[in-house]
Amino acid sequence: MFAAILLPSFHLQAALRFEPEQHRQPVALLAGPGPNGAIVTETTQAARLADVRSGFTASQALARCPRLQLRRRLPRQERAAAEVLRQTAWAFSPWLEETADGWCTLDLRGRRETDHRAWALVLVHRLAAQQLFARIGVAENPGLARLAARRARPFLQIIEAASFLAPLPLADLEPDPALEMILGGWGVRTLGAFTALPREAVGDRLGPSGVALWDRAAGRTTRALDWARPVETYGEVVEFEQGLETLEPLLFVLRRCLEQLTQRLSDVWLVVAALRLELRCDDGRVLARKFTIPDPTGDVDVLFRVLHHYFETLRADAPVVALEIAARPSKPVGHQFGLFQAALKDPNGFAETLARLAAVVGDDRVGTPQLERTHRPDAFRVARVDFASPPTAPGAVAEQPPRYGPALRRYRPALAALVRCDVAGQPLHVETAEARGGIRFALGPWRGSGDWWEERRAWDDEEWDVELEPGGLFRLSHRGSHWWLIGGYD
Amino acid sequence: MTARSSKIIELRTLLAEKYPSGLRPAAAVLETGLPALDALLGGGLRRGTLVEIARRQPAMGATCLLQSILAGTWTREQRMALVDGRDRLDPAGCRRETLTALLWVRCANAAQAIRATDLLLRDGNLPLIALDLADNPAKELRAIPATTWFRLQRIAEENGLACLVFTPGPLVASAHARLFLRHPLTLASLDAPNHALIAGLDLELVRQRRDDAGPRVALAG
Repeated sequence: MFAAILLPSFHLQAALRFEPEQHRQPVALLAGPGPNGAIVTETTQAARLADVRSGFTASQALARCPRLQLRRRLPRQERAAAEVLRQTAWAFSPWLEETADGWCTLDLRGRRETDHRAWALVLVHRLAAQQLFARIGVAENPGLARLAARRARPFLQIIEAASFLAPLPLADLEPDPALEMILGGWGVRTLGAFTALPREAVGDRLGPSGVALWDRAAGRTTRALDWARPVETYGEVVEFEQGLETLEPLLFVLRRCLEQLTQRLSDVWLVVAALRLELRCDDGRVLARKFTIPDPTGDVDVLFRVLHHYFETLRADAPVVALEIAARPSKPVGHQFGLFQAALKDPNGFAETLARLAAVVGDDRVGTPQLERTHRPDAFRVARVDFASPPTAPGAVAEQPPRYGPALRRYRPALAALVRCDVAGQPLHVETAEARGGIRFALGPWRGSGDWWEERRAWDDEEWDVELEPGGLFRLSHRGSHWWLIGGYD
Repeated sequence: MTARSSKIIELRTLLAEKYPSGLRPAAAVLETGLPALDALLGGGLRRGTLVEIARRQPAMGATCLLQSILAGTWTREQRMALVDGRDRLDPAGCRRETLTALLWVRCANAAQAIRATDLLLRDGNLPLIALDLADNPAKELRAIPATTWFRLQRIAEENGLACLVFTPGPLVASAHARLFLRHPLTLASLDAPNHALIAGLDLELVRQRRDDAGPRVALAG
């Protein structure tokens, strides 16, 4: 048995996927440069009731229905909708063919049931949750299943092929126009009337194409399916007719995307491990960002908050014309905390807090400090926090030499200082924005140099440790004729 | 029993009946890794409280203390956050491996630091938050309303976290305990071993709620 899944008016469905309320409004899809410009190719039910037909030009359609909304095709959204169809259908049978736009054929060889209504309706509901409205036909061959899908509301299974096919119009088989004209001249309008003619006689008069059409009309044709496999990533694309300049509508659409993504993943028992967000601006620029979800989840609120914090700090120079979001799926992870384990209670909440902190102090100012492998002063980088994995066990660290002296508090940047020295060059008095006064004791100079082979990277200077009379221990740096206060001991 | 004290007892009974959640069992404590400091605070940093460590002038050893607490946190395989009010931490002064236990928030001013502390306390994932305002200008610190400290204390209490605040003088109105660093370091201390410096820090407990001010204690003792 085979199942054909049809998304009627696929291109229009794809265009309206993120505006489901528009399905009840008169909307027409314009495509192709016809002799009078683009013509109407697909319409909603409300537009059809207003007598708007395929093939109308835009002005003809608007003359029939002044409230008509005209839309253009959105290829990226169509590709995303086709992927949704593939991935959703894949959960019901791995033998899948992507027959045409909005049209999938499944080989049901693995399914043992004879009545396919139950699972087909589940599939219809899953697609409806993704704002795709499907019809499913089940029959003994792909061609017959396709004809059944066209008549399905929303499901039709063909048990007796002959009685189903007999009243169908010949046009359902989309015959060659020349053949259709000849058969029309003979008074043949339905498949039943055509198959009533002897097959050999049809072959004698119409040739091999006539025989092939006769076989299809009799429901005898079968063919091998061209297997397709859905991609492993799950994504959504939204293209905006008008560029978005404010955050609210963007967040609204983003939430819908996330709801649909998580729903698709939940249908196949997966959750989101990472997200990739891409915003296309009107000026051609693309803003892209990856988000790792520390504790993979299918919770829309959690995912939305993670993205929301990013948007709070986002500034785009031009309106956003398209949004693309892709999810890397993973299996749900179960946690069994150890009795003495100091794991984070809520990794996703922590990631959210980090995003908020980054919004307060800056992206590069929150994290775990990591020392660079150099003796250059103040050489470190702030790495992304990784508290999900256990910390280095103290026992695994080699014994280290003891440390001497108090800790240094560094001034970033170093403060320019006015320093008075004696004849030997030893500092006597210091004046800076943070400390001033006579120097009670001074130790130095401690000379430092590094990267001497690179002229610009040399940091040849001398340092002094000083104790001020009013109190305080400081480190002074001297290079050329300039002095800096680079830190205080504490 | 005087009439006044009986009224107080009645009032306490009434409050206990009306707000049973207000009477919590004794909060667990978070060990700092410094036995003398833990002893001074009655076992360690009490969860759900703010503890203030103040200094009268620079070079009192507050940063040494902070780094030792970080090392202690790492030794216990836990994590802590440092909200650095003026971005003054020198990571090179810490042992490389202990930095893996640290979330460092590098703030530009006290307002940012308070906001960051608020977020971390509300988050509740890290048991110890250190807020370093020791180098922030007095003008910035005066601009922090007293109610902010009570708000932070309430959040810490709700989430069972300990918050250690380093200040240049008495500042935190809602502090459960306030300690003063008394003895300034000298140039000679640059040659002293780090552990000896920590042990020699001169801390005085000047305020502790429900307790009298304790004695002046050197950490070595």
